[in-house]
Amino acid sequence: MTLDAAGAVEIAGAVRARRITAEKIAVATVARIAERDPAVNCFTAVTAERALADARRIDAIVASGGDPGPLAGVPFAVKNLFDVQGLTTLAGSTINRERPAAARDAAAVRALARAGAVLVGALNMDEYAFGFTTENTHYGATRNPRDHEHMAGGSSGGSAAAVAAGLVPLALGSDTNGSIRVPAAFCGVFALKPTYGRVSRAGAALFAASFDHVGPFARSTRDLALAFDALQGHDADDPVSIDQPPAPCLPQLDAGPNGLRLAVAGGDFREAGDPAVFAAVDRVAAALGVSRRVTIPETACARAAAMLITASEGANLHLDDLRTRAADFDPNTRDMFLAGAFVPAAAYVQAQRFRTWYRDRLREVFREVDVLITPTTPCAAPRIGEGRRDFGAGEIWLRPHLGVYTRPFSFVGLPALTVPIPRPGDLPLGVQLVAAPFAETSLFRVARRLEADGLVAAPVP
Amino acid sequence: MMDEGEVRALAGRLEAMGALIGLAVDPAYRENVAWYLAELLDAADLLTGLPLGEAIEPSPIFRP
Repeated sequence: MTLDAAGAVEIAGAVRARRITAEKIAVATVARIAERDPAVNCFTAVTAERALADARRIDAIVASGGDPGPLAGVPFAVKNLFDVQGLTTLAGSTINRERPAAARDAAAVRALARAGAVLVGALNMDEYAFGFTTENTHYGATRNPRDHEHMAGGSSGGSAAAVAAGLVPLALGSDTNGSIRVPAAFCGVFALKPTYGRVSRAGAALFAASFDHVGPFARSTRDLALAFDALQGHDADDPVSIDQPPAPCLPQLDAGPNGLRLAVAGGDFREAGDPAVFAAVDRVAAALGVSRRVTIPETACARAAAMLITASEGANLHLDDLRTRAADFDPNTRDMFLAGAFVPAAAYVQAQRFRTWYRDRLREVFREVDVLITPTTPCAAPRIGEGRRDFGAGEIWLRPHLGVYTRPFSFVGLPALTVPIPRPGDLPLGVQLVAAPFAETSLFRVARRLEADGLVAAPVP
Repeated sequence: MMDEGEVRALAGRLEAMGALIGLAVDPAYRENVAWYLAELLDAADLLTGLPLGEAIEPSPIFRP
């Protein structure tokens, strides 16, 4: 087993079968991070001692004939907005450095640990999750493992890059407007933004509570499903957690897309992007035999409303610090938070009312369609520092535009899975699969078929 | 869309607007903040022009 390319299923299988110890995997993972992370800058903390202790505990369970869990000995890392016992939850900021260390792990961290996974560290991100680039002024930019001159995407850039680089097989991130899907597409890995309320956010620093989701990154659909199945479930500690029975995806993974009604999103989802991203969508559609197109109404308003709610809720969360110590914010996020403080309350309420209206329109769409196919991002990973680009209708600010295809779905909490399209000699692209609430299984069935056909993959560079 | 002149004028008003809500925006940040705020106000304009009907309520998280 080549450990940097080994997936979660392979590692857990080997640990459970006593072909390798969890301790040996933890030691090798920590060594690999020490050797390779400086080139990509994913990790802001490595929890080596804890990893060794947890790995030995897993080995003891295996040795005693017990069940160590489906993720036995699988190393994982988390965006540094998740509480990790004994670490200060930075959320990409220096302001939070002054806070005490977390007394307890976040619910999602506990869920993976309960399944036998071994935490090895915390990962870089845009400050307070406000951004799509992980060009963090305080902790440095995370670099795309497939080309270090290019950005990893954000705000969960450390999570996507750590998985893509082969530092860990699994990572956790959060997604408010695209912060799981955008970096996954740029780094060329699989990732899932589950249905809003499906995975607990308890113990994760919020950005915009109306849209904040927690989800996993992996290099295969099987690993992603395994992680999601460990994560999903109701949690009374998260006020938006939905009391819905878990729907395990792994058992359905190889069911194939037969019987699912698939369609490509037209209209806005065919505009304002590089031709290559639309070609990638068309390749996926052709492989699945999809010719149907649907148009989603008022997506421009959905993006506008998502922006207003995000900016307002973000500014509200950080208002005290904006008033008293704005200079301590990352300049890349500070001015956006400050602007959010001036959004008229009537506009915020209108945006929340529009959210209800738009949810009802998407319910109508998903009465006719099971899985919608769109690009994940308007382009492959831009160069670090790139500010503006022309997609055919004049130069625009690139950074907010990176979420143009992801925002309309997190806005109403729909599950979305991004699959990586490798392009030899070029950076990968992401294709986004979107389904009705709680229909993650449908996404996995489609994604797995594409993977089995060789169209999507996440090889370690 | 606000043009450059309008954004500059908005930047000039940020000091007075900030005083109303107890938020002093450092002069060094004002122009950039005004660009972001202009974008948000454009978004607000787009949305508030949309007739939604009185029956459409926000989806509150609050549970009594």
